[in-house]
Amino acid sequence: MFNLNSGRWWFHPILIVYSLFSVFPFLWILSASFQAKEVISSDQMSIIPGAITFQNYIDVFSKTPFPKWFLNSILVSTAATVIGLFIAATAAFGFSQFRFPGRKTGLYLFLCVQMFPGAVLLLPLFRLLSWFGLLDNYLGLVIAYCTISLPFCVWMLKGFFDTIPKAIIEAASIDGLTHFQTFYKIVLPLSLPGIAVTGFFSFITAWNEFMFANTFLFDSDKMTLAVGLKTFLSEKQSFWELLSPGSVIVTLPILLFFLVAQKWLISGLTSGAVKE
Amino acid sequence: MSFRRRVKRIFFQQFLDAVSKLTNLQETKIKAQKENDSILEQAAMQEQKLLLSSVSSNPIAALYSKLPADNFGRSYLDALIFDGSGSPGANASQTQILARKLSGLISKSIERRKKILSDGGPRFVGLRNYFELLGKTDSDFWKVLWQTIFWTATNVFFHFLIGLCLALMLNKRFRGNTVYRLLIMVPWAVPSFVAAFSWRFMFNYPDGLINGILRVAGFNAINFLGNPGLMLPTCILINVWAGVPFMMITLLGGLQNISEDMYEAAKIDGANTWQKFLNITLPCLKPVASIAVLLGVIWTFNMFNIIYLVTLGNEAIEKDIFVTFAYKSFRTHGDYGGAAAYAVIILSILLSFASRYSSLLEREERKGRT
Repeated sequence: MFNLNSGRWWFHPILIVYSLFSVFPFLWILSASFQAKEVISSDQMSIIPGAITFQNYIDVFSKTPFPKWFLNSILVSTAATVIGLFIAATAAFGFSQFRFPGRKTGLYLFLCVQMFPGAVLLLPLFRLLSWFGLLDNYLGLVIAYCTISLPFCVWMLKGFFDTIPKAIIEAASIDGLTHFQTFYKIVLPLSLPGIAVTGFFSFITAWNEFMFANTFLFDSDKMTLAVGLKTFLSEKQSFWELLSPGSVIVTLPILLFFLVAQKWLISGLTSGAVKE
Repeated sequence: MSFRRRVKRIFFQQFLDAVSKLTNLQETKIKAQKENDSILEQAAMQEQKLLLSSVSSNPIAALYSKLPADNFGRSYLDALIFDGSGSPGANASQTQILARKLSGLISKSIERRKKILSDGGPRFVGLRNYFELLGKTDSDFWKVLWQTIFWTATNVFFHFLIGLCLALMLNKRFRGNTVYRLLIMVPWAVPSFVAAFSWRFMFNYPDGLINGILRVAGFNAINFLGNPGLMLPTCILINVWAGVPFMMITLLGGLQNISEDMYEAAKIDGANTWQKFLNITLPCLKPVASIAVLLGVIWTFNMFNIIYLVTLGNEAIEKDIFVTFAYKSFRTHGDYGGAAAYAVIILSILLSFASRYSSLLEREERKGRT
């Protein structure tokens, strides 16, 4: 490994140190999740557990509404992804295939909206949701998530649709397909990988979101994971023995998927969004 | 049952339902007041208002509220309501008290409506909200602005510097390359709230990991997250950790697109490594790098989860960056106008930055072409 002749041997110490720095916080909480409550809350904890216990995992599933939060998060994120993808795909198809007045302005508007901080949208969304009686309601949260993920999805999908050769679309219209048929018979199947990448990122956005979920939901049974896990932290006491297994369960599936699919995700990200 | 009695009964039922709902809302409101959560309080109040406006058209309620307390008709009605079949049964006297409250609330809501009508409701105040933010000497605005700029600039600087160094190293072929890249990407895949929790766990006072190390090294434990002076640098460290992978991946993608031919040509011309970096790598990387930096600035400026969750519960830290500050002023002080003014200021800063940036890029491009 340390090939001294190549002149690059000094890469290794730097990269090893930085890799450790990158991985360490997650490893630390992973290791804490397997250790007894008394050990975690003292300064006796070490990265390699002295005695492994699964009690924390049992506790977080049986004594807290964690399973409910998990289902809530899956429900809300999935709904936001599916609805958002459907709207974004149709919009992106329009922006990609047709030339119409206001097209450029529309695209730039989407770009500007993407820069909107969540805190800017919080207030108007709160008022709107309260008018429609959608506060403390999953549908309200899903709509809010769609508004934040839509611009990103439209730009990504437009990038993918642009790569479909014009000739195929023209052939379809010569064969007598309507615009909508072209969309779901030709464009959608051809850009399925792109849609999957976009969907994954939009799912992650909803999964990670905290501010909206913390504002628009009141009922503790309706909380999503980010808000729910926060309740284990308080000014006086922090329940690390519950927070650590919770965090691990939230992170592991996404982390594994990321690492397995990273090549594909990155190429999707760069070929879709950055190329334009 | 005659039609009139049926209608009466339906109205009774509605009235009693409204009473029980109002009690629940009242409880929620009081709880929210205790917890200093003005959003929940507002929501409960709005819900109450809606209910009251719907119930005030209920003839029973209207009749009920109009009767003075000592009126014979009213005591008759009381008896009718609470002994009648429509009563929720168990707690008659409590329901009675509530019904009284309801009648009071209805008359109050009518008064409030009149007042709003004569007042004009939410009024146009011109630029007053902005003056209050910017003009007052005790305003936190300038401090928050300065902290936000410091936060954004430092973060993006380190993201770019570390990301570029790592990308330059990983762009070379050597054994272990892929493993390093995967490990360095981990912070990108960790949800930001989990990142905030695990760093908070490590910085925990007094017996988190970092304080343990300090103690072993012979220092005193430091409350990193409770100290207003240390909070921002700590959060910057955490956000740098979280943001480097994206920058590295993007820059690595840019580096891989630079064609080898150029380096070979430079080698023939006798350029050294530094010259190659300065004259080939940097200019070719510029388009990708500028997009990555623009995105980095926007994301860092808007970074909410890390700052909010890392400093959560530390009352000492009220003033942090724009986004969290606006959120707190909305949420704990219920200051709609102030929060809206903040929102507009945040947005205009971002928009002006983005437009300045894109026009700068266009000019550079034109210069490059001619």
